[in-house]
Amino acid sequence: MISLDDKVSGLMVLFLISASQLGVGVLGFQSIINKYAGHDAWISVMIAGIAVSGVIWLMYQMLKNDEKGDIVAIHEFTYGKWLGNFLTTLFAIYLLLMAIVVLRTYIEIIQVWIFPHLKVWAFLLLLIPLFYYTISDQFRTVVGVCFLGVVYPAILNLALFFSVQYADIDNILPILDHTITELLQSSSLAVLDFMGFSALLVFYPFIREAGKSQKYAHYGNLYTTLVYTAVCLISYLYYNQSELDSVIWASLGLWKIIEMPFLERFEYFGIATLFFMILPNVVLYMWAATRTVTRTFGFDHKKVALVLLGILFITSAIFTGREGVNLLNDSASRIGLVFLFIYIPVLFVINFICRKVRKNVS
Amino acid sequence: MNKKTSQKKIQRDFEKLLRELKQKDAFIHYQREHETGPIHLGYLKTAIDTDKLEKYIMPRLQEYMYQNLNELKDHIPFTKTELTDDADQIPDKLVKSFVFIYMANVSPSYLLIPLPLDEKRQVSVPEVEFSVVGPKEAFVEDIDTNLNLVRKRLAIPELNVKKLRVGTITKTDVAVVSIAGIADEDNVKTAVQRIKDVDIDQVVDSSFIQQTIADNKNSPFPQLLDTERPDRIASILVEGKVAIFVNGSPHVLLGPTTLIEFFSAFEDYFLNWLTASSFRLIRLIAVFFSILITPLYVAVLTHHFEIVPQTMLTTLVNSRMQVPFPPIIEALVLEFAIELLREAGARLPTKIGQTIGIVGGIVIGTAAVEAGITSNVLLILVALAALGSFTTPVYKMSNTIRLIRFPLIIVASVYGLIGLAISIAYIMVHLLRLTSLGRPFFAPIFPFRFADFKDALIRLPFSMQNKRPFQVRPSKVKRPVANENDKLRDSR
Amino acid sequence: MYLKYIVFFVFVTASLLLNAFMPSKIIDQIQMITVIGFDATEEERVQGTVASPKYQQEGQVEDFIYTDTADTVYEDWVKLNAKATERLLNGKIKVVFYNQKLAAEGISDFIGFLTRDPSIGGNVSLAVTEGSTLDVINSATTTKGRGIFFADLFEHNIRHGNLPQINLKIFESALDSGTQDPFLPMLSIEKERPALTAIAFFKGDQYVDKLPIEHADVFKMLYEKNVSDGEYQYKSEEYIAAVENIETTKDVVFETNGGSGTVTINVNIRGAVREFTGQLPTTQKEKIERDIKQDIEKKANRLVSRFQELEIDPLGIEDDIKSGNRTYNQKHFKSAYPDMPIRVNAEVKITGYGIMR
Repeated sequence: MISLDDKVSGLMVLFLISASQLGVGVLGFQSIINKYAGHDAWISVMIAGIAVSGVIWLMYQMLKNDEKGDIVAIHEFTYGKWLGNFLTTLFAIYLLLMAIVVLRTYIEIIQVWIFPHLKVWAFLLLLIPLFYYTISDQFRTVVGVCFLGVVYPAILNLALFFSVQYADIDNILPILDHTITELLQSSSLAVLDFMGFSALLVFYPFIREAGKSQKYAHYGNLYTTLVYTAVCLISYLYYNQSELDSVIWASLGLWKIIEMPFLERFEYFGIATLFFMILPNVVLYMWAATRTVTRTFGFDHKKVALVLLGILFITSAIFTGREGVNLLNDSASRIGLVFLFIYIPVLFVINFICRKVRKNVS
Repeated sequence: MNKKTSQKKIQRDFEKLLRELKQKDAFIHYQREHETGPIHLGYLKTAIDTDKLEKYIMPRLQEYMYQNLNELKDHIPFTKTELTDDADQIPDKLVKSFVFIYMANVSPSYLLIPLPLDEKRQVSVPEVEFSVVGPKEAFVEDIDTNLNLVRKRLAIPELNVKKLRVGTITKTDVAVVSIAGIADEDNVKTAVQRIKDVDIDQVVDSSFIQQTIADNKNSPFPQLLDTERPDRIASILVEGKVAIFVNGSPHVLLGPTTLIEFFSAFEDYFLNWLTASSFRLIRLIAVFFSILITPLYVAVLTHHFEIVPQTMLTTLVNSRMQVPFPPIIEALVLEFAIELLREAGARLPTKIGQTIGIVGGIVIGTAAVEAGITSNVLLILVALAALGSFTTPVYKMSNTIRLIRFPLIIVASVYGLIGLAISIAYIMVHLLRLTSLGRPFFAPIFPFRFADFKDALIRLPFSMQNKRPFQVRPSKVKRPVANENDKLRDSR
Repeated sequence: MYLKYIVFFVFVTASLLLNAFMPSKIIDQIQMITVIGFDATEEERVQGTVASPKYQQEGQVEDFIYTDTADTVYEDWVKLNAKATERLLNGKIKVVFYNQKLAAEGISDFIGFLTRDPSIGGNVSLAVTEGSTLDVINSATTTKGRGIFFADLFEHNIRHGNLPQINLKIFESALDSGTQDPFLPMLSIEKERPALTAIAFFKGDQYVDKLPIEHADVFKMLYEKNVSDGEYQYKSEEYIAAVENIETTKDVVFETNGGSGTVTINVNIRGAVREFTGQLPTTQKEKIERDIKQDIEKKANRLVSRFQELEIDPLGIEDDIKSGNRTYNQKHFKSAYPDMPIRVNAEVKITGYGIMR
């Protein structure tokens, strides 16, 4: 079983949840979520944050029943061995897909912004050993990366304030100019940027006194929501809505205007710093995928990690260009939406019934 | 008859031994007449303290009345004297600073008296970790003196000294020191166990132990702190850490330690906390600067001219105009030159070393810029980076800092700032995985321990240092530090 | 055991070697374009002019100036590169000029060229030139390089002069918004030196009118939400008063009464008199304030009705109304705008008179 040394304190759930949610999404979500709610979409971000808190609550209700419980145990308990393992495998593939999406999107940004001639597969050769080095050892290392991946890029939030001098309050007035339906429709798009927290279903047994860590999970989600809302709000103050339609990565555009006496064009520095936000995403998903496969089939953790990283390497090298990346992004968001807001509640209900029934039987 | 033949045999053995020993040129052999017959005395001239021999042994051989070696033994004012019948042991014992006395007609026994040469360096001023204020004592090579220097500061019965022998040939004394009731038993056990497990033929210095018991032997980072200051050892023992003394080494090891601790000079504790904190921060900034500035220069000049403000560009381009190489070559050449200077300065005697520094720094630097091999700006940056690395109080860590710069420069030249970020991530993950005596090396940053920050990046006043660092899992967490007067004042 | 180290080194080395020959941009082996000029020529072609700093010893900077004519910007760049000794790169563009003819034909394609390229920043100064851009670029004499020269020229005029805050980002915002028309500074050559002479107003992306820079003080007060350091000069037969250190706040009030609405622009002005040709200004504070108020209102109303005649909205009145009004309808507004009653209401407060009575 998991030894006490491998476990991390409950506070770390805050950083794990935040690190898994903050990723490439933060760079360009502004011009996606305004599809329905227009300049009010920043309210949708908050609504999405609340909805995600609800899903976290559902997850905790399932996980709490067993301190050692994770998605593998829940699936096995609910559906029995065969169906359970099948669904767990799907979940592992979903995690892997998320890692690919994040990594590929980041490389896409590098290609567009800095190195148009980058050989992606050769670049990946530098990254894959780093991922392996992080996930092959204890979970503690992954948590450490997540912790620093939240704390260090937090300084980027300060950079947002440079863009405030170009803010125009007219761009978001009048507030609440859209119907509730429009706001909710935009929220359903905003939710996609919060998706990563499903890794909670895997790392739950690694938390010390896991049952009591729920509040930290909500705090983590709160932090993410605040960051997204702040970024969104400042972007909407900075750009007008028609301008937003034409930009792909609105957040990077915010940085374009920053000029400091020793540093112009903050986005180049920012993209490099973003690596510390991307890394926790990828390693957490990869670790979770590895752990899920290991738990289900009982293979060796390191070997599974190698195989999955191999898949990551090949897929990331194959999908090229804007279309490829878009295809990846779209499919991941659809699957994520179905998984989080349809599958998890359904699983919760079935799991709840199963527990009641078996309790009565015994 | 039987007795006589055995007597003869013993006699023959002794003569054989003497013949063998006489082949060594340092061997001295005396023969004195006694009422029972001849008395033989032998030793190796270079191995023993001849003054003591003249002063204490020789007079007694003549003056006192004795019939056999046992009686003689009682008159010799030395402990650890031995009596043995085994002639084969003698050559070995002579090497280890013993004198033998043999009464040919009385018994086949040898009396062995230890007269080791006490060649010790005087306790002197610390040179590596010099401080303007505070105690001015530094450890020497002798382990007993060193232990004594610490005992002087910690004259308490709880001071736990566990002695061990390491080295299949050298059999060096190693002492693991901790304070019972404060230090965590697990830490002491880990240290002792690891030292016991060491399988090495020689231990010449504490760095041998440092490298063989390191948690990760392939890491460029030293995982045990070493210091030459007894006051620092005493203070850190009180914090609950474990010290490892090695005979023959003026450097004592400390563990479990953290990365941050390598950047805290002990002088920090002698200064007012505001001053000390500022200096410590300056040191940390210097380290970051030292590691990052050359790779940043290479990354920006090779790939990211966009981020340089126009006015700064003029300076940069101007200084690089004559340079025929790309920034990566320029930087590597210059870094190599600085390392060369440092190495030359370290290998040469102090006085010549200084000259080399001046010649290298001023003459070569100026000439290189004038000849157009390197740019002014880079020369300044590299020199500052070198300076920054020397602010690190622990020499081994400052070597590491200079070393990890090179891969960073190379990656930065290919992948620019992204490459730099990835390299830093590598170092970060490495530090996250690293442990010191099984305790996380990257604490208190991760695992995040807010309370331990009181003595990490900054040093808060003593009144706030009321808990021992959680890093070492001390058995006793609280420590009294506040001034009674402060308490009274606060309560008013 | 050591396999993993070998694999690691092979991976990293391979990665570095394979990408080592990506085209780099070593700062002394490129030419950074700092100033661009686009001119429309007679034969429907584009003349592109670029200035790129040529660094001299002792920190002096001169500029290479290349110019050529082609059908598209891209083709222009190919031709210019053929002349340059090193690769021309866009990363440090500070200033872009369009000549009046090109501006009148529409510059949205040329703005697209600037915003699509990730290496071009947001803080690029744009300007219209009265004559050929090449002449304006050539006429600058400086040892800092023309990029810094022109950027500084705009910068200080924005900060302390009559030029409102304007750069690529703001221009693009206004252009894309559909609720506001952009404007740009206009340069011409005066006595062989480049000089900021006017503000050029656009309808969409097409230049339509200009306002001399000495009369732009009122425009700046009406355009910006807050002016932090402006200046204003009152001239009458009676006396001349120069007001400096002007701080203003502005708000736009839209009132609907029946079918059409009325717009009131309230401007609050605080400033100190620095130059006064009459007698003892301290004794006639109220008169001065009233005179200035009337003067500003008169000028402002004239300016606004000129905009209404041209059917342009550089002040962003539509934008203000859109954000303050939930019943706003774009089509309705656009048709009503030329005849909409727009009133300017100025409040003037003189806060000081220098160090003389």
